[in-house]
Amino acid sequence: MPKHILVVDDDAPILEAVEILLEESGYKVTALNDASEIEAHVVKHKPNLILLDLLLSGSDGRDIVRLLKSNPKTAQVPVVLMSADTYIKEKSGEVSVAGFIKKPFDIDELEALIVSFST
Amino acid sequence: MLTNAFSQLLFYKPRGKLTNYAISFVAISLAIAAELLLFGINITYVGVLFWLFLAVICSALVGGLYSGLISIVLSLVIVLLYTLLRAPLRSSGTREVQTLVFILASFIACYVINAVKSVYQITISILNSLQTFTIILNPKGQIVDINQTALQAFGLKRTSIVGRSLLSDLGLSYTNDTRHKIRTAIAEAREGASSRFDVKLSTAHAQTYSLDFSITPIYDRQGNVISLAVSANDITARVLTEKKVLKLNQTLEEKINELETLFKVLPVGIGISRGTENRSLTINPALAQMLNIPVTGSTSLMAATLERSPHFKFVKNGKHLRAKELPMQLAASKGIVTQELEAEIMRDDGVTLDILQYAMPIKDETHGWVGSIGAFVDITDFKVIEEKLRESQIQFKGLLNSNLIGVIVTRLDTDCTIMEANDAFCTMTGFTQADIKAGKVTWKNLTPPEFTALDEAAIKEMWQKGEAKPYEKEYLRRDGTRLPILVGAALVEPEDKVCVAFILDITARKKLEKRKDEFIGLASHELKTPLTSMKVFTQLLQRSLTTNKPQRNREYIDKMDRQIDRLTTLVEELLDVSKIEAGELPFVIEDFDLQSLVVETVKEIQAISEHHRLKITGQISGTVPGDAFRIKQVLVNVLTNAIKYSPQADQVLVELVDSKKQAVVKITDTGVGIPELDQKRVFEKFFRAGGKNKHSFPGLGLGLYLSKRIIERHGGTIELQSTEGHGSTVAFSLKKVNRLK
Repeated sequence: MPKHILVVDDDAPILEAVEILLEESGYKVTALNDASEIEAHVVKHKPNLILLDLLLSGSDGRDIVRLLKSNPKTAQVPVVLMSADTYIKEKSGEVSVAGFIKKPFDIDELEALIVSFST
Repeated sequence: MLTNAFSQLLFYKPRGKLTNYAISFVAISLAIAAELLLFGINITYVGVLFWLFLAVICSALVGGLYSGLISIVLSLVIVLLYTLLRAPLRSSGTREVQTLVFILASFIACYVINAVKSVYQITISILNSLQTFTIILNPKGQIVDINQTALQAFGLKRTSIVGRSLLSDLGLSYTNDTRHKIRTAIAEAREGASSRFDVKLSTAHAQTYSLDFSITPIYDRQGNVISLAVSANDITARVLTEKKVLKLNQTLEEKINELETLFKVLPVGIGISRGTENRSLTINPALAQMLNIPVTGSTSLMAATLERSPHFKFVKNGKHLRAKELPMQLAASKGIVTQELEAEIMRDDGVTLDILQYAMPIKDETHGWVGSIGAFVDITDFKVIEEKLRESQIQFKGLLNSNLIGVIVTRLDTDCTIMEANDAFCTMTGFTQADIKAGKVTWKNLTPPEFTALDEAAIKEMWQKGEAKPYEKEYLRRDGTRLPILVGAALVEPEDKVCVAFILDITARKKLEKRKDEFIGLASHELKTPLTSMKVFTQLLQRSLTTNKPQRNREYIDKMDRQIDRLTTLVEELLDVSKIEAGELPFVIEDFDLQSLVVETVKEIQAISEHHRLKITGQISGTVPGDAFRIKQVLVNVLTNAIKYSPQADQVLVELVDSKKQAVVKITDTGVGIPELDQKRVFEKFFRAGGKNKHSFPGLGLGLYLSKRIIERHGGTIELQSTEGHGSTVAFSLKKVNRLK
């Protein structure tokens, strides 16, 4: 069974593009553009990896990471933060994340990152 | 005998003078002789001589040698008289007659002698009474007599000099030149020539005399020179006075020369007028330069006449001074003194000079005011400096009183204590004037530790260059909050270590800078977002091209195309902002159907908005004038904001309100709303609502700013009503009548 990846971004075209890319690479992808549904989804479907946009409409990616990390049922799922902000690492602060990826990114780069978590 | 003797005394009144006594005794002796004759004694030569001898002895005993000599002379006269009278006396009459005749003859002789003596006495008195030094010389140049005035002045004794040569050692010292002149003059006088010359001599008492000396010959009846009269006037005082006058003249001449030089080189214009009309002036080069006229020739300060147009005019307080108002004219005609009159000289070459004028009358004791002296000081440069100083003072005062800039006077001691500060500084920092007076406010306690080094560098710079270039730092306010400032300082009293610093509150600038930084971050985020999806699709397209799946390729290209449109819109929005600020955003004004535009736009937005339902209520009839493209931009902006800021909601309401004069579009969401504090600012450039969570909402902070500018250009209004947590309504109105310029 292919690895299950949850992609969260408020920008529909990005969400669609990443979904297509990862599906073509053989992953099972769930795309969400509403931050409020994340926790429930993770608890229910236990994705192997979460690709989370830092800047979401109405909520902050870091708050979502904190929320997930504070819940024992979701804390183990690695989160990769995506952002168009050059200073994404600095802005993430003390939030515990597995990795960062800067927008716009190479699809090879994204795939390599995902592979590194799959092994 | 005694009777006769007394009768002689009646004719000659003895007053104690020895000579007088001698004469009296002669008369007495003659009377004795007559008595003897009268009583029968024959008169013989021997007898007469005997009695005369007796008289002479008596005279000499009583009157001295001088009297004795005179008695001898008189005896000889009597002997002569006896010789002449002897024969007729003997031959005629009786002895009584003879005696009477002899007595009569003796009496006449005595009288004559007395008369001669009187004349001589008068002459001597006259000589003595003369203030002129008078000396009688014999033709050899020996002193015969000298008057009292000369004796007293020269400190001489008559008896010791009579009979001596004038040039012998009399106790007077002459110069060789004087001695030569006197000798020549005596020789010439002997020959009958008078001469007159000045001599200088010193007396035994070392007193020096200047004398106007003259030697004149005295002739007898036959024309022989019998004596020489020397008269000398004391001209010592006159000579001294002459010398003094000469010296005074020289000094006066020097002073005049000095004054003339001063007149020529003095940088003050000077004019001297003679006469009360001021028609002709003597002017110095400085005044000539001021008036731009030649120094020479006749100059007039009078106003223009028919013959003459003025090269200049005097103006006071913008008013042309007439001839009779000119200070020099007032001085010359009425004796009025003018001090420091400020006026202007306006020359016909366009040059205007500011001057200070002084004028004084010239007074003549008999005629009153006869002219005037005027002085003209060119104060043009002073005026310019004064004006500049005044301006800078006003500017400085304005600066000090304005609430724009804080000004502080600091003593650069260890803590840099602020001695004085204006109210702007107090407002900025929260300290009071009382705190400053108490010396509580120092650079040290105003400055957070991280800025201490900057202050120290500025102080060092001030000591080196006199001023410190403005630098940015922060102040710790009285309440502990921080204030970003720009401060510049300059030393004003180095010896007292006093400097003045100017403080500008740069909070607003800092905020704007922060917003700009945020904007740049956001702009790059907004631009990168469509680029991200485009890049993924491009790479997917590359892959799919190799696998030859035409259907998928087209799909990717479509998606990429949409992202390109999105990018274009973003870039256009940015361009629009810069254009509208430069006033270069073009508007195409036409009547358009606003309701149709709203419907069409809502449809387009609805198409890309999955979660929200956009609902239109109300109607607008007819058209409104305006640029439909720009109004659509406003609609898109407000609608996308409504959707963006209401992520939890599912509806956005579009309400159309129609009236005769205007059409109103209200767009209401039930989203996060905007805090009251931010509501006024949502139309500012770069301002982004959302409070604490604003970073959660993408956007450049330009949409509403641009919308407001567009609506205002249409003569309409745009307003926001919002309640935090409950949503917002943005309403804009457009006028229905075309009143656009």
